[in-house]
Amino acid sequence: MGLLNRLTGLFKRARLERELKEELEHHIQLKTQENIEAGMSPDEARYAALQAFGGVEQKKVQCRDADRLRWLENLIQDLRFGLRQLRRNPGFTAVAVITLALGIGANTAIFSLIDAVMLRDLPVRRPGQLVLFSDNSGQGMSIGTDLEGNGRWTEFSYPLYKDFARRSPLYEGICAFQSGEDELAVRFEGRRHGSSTEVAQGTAVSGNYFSVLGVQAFIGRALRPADNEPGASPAAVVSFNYWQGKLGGDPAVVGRSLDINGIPMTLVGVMPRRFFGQRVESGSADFWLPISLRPEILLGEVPWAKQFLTDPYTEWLNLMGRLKRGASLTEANAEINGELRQYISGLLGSKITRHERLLLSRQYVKMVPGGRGLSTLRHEYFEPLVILLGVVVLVLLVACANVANLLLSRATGRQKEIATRMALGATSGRLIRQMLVECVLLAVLGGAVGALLAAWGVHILVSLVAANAPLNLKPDPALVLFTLGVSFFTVIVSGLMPALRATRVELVCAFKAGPASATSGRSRLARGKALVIFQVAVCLVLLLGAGLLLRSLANLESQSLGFNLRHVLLVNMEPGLAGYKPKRLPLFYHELVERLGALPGVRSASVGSTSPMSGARQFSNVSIEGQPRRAGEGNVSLVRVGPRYFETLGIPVVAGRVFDWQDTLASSGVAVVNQAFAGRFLPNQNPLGHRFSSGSKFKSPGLEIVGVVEDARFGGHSEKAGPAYFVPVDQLEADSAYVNEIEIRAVGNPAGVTEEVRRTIHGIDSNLPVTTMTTLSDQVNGSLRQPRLISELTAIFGLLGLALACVGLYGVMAYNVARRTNELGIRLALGAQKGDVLRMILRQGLTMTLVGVAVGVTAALALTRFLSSLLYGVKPTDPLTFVTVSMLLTGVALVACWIPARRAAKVDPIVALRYE
Amino acid sequence: MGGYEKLQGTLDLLVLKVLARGPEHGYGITLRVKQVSKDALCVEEGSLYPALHRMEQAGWIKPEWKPSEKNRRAKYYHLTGKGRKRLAEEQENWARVTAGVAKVLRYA
Repeated sequence: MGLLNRLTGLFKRARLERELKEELEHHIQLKTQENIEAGMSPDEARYAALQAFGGVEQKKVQCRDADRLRWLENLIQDLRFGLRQLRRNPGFTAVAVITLALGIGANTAIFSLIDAVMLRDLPVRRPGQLVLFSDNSGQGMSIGTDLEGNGRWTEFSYPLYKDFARRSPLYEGICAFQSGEDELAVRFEGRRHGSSTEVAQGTAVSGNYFSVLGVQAFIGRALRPADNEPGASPAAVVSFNYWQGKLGGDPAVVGRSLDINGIPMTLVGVMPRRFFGQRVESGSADFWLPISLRPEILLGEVPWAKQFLTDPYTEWLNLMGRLKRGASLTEANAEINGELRQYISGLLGSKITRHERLLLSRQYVKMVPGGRGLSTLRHEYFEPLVILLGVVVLVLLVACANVANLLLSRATGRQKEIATRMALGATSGRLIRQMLVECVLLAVLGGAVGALLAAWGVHILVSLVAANAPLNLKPDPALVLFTLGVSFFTVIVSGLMPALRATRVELVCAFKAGPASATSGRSRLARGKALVIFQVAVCLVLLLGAGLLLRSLANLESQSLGFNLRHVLLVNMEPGLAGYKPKRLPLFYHELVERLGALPGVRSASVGSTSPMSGARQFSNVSIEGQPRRAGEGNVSLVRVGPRYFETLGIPVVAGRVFDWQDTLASSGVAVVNQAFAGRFLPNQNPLGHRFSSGSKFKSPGLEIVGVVEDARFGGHSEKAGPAYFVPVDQLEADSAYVNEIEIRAVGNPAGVTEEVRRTIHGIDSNLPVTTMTTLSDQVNGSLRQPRLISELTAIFGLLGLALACVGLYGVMAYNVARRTNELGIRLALGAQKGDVLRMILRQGLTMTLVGVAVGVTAALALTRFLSSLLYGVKPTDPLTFVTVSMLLTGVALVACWIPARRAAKVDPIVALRYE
Repeated sequence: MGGYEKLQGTLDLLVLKVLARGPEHGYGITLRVKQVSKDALCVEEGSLYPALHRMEQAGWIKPEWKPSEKNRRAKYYHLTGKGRKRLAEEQENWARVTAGVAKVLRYA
């Protein structure tokens, strides 16, 4: 047997057919002969032989079915027949294909996003062998090893990294990379590129970073261990995107020199297009530099830069290792944790207290598979994406129910055809297969159109979620498999029930009655009704979810944020990169603020370390003079600001004063606190005049509280403003004197002053890199991007579900009216009023809808709690939403029933009685 | 028509047993069954051919076209090794069933 045999069998089709005929004919002839010998006339004899045989064509079909050789041939026949059927009913085909395409497309789009964000491996060699030393995707650095925390190690110092790298036999190699990126001033010498200074993102990596990941350079070479040796000539590699965008994709730049933060280096290579480092999100590195160069590069900005390579308490590296073949994650975990404890006890020295021993035993590293890299997108969007996937699955169910309903109606219309085919010897198995083949065709068409829709939709989704993230959206096997799976699912869900139903025909009945015969019509209707009730219920769940999310979004948008977000322009600058030393900063800030504030169209200007809702925050712990230490003191936000900061951002002052240019290093230290600060640390008293300092113990003289402002939100929308304090930037020294943001309140639209602002800044210092300009309202909206995206997408999918459910409802009602034309005619003839008929049909539709709504509400009560983490200011069982959405759905459903009901009322009794 | 076709699998048994004697075509099988059973059994002609095609696919019998006694081309089936094994199984089955029925008739 085997496929070849089957294929040749296909070509032997004509011969087999001939032989079958010959074989049966031979039998009939012998039988006829026997009958003749028994004394019948030749005609009689043949007739008797045929009768005894019982339906030659039927037996032929059964013989053919017995020949398994024919399965392929049958399939082709079925496909041809199916295509013919679909072509014959273009309207049906179009509706079914579009419905399925919407359902499948929505699923594929959401899944491809999940695939790209969650499931893809980094484009590196054998990603399965990579392990990360912590699944923490945050970026940052800490100075001073804190054993008191939760004990989990996420960043590591360079000495500890070298320790691990030297003593871990289970690894082919362990590499280190800076947690996050530095902003670098890059100057490229060259004819074509001029010599302007650009700001680029750079990240420091160990010399073996590229060899451990297994990534080769696109042009030139990658960094190698020798580049990290002290005294090596400084080398850097550039990302493909930066090379294309900023260096014109010129291969000749490899080997040229460039200037990074004033240090001359050689560009030794361009990395491949798909390689973005180990992180999967926006804002990945443009340049990779050896770790050994970081102190030198940052020396101008970060005074402690020297200790990056030597200090065991400066933790700033993330680690990733490649396991040797056969080594397991568990072994690797045990090995690294053993080494970690050994290393820490080395630091603690020989005299170790009991408390320290306890702390030591709590320290650990959690090793995780590293093949997919690090991504905050994964943390931020995992839950919303899973919920969206649930939402689109519901949409798909509604779509399937619609197609099932269409198929069911059509199957009823085809009852005579089906009965005829069964009478001719088709088995019900064969017929079911035939109908499923039609369904497969529909699903394939729907899947193909859906895949196109998805390819278009996912780009929109990505631009909303992570505009510049290095997401690889090319279809991969997982995606293809998913789409096929979903299409197959639609076939089973929408096709099987109608097919089973259609082939259970009582032959005699089917021939006697028309397609709308009383009995079969009624059970067909019952199924149709069940489908519609199901659709209404699913649709209600969708709409309820959307309603809850939209209400929560409205809550987020309408809440008071504690500042005035209108007309504020935010400008990012890098005085550190322009070479300003801390001593020169006060003068610089003064000039900047005064000159910008004096521009026409500008009300006021200020500088600050951060602005509300920027997402960037600095925390500190505080100690109040004369108060014992208390829990929660570490979570106080610290904002470094210039004069007029509060006025510019519209943060109301409640008591006391704000800063002016007289608050300098020469005057005594002052601070402004927010109401949350006063409420937490100095409740029921006048906070003005009290003193506090940062740190876990009060250090005299500390800062005097001179003013109190309202609580402005610096974190996200759903985060209540916590305690915060503000200090004048002119009273700070060294690196804390650097602030990177200029805030400008314009009289009108801030877009109108951007050019003037840019020119003024350039006029003060042409070397000062201005990185981004945005408005405060954009920044605030940015922090609402995720909740808005989720609620709007859910609403769109909910409406899609509603439209599909209405089509289903309309279909069933229209079918019902058509089936009852006769009866309605009698009613009207006997004196029923048009209004009665209208109400009767509407009542039927309403009953179905209400049952659906009841089922849907019950399901929603159980399901909406999965949304609770995304809801703000609204309960998952919010009665107002439930009632409004249910009423809305019922209203729309009534409209869908209205058309068939009106048609029913317009039935002409004479025509109706002649019907059928 | 005898009632035996109602017993599942009886047709297969009869066909295999007849073919164990030597190659035979469909009509010949019906004749042989009738003859040997002295008209007590009658293979339903209509079910015979689908059954033959089924058994052919199962690999129990193999067809061969050759001239019949009346010198016309006819499709003869003969038993394969697999078919012989199958026949043995079917016979054993049959013996068990009939023995069972006999016991019931006698003692029940």
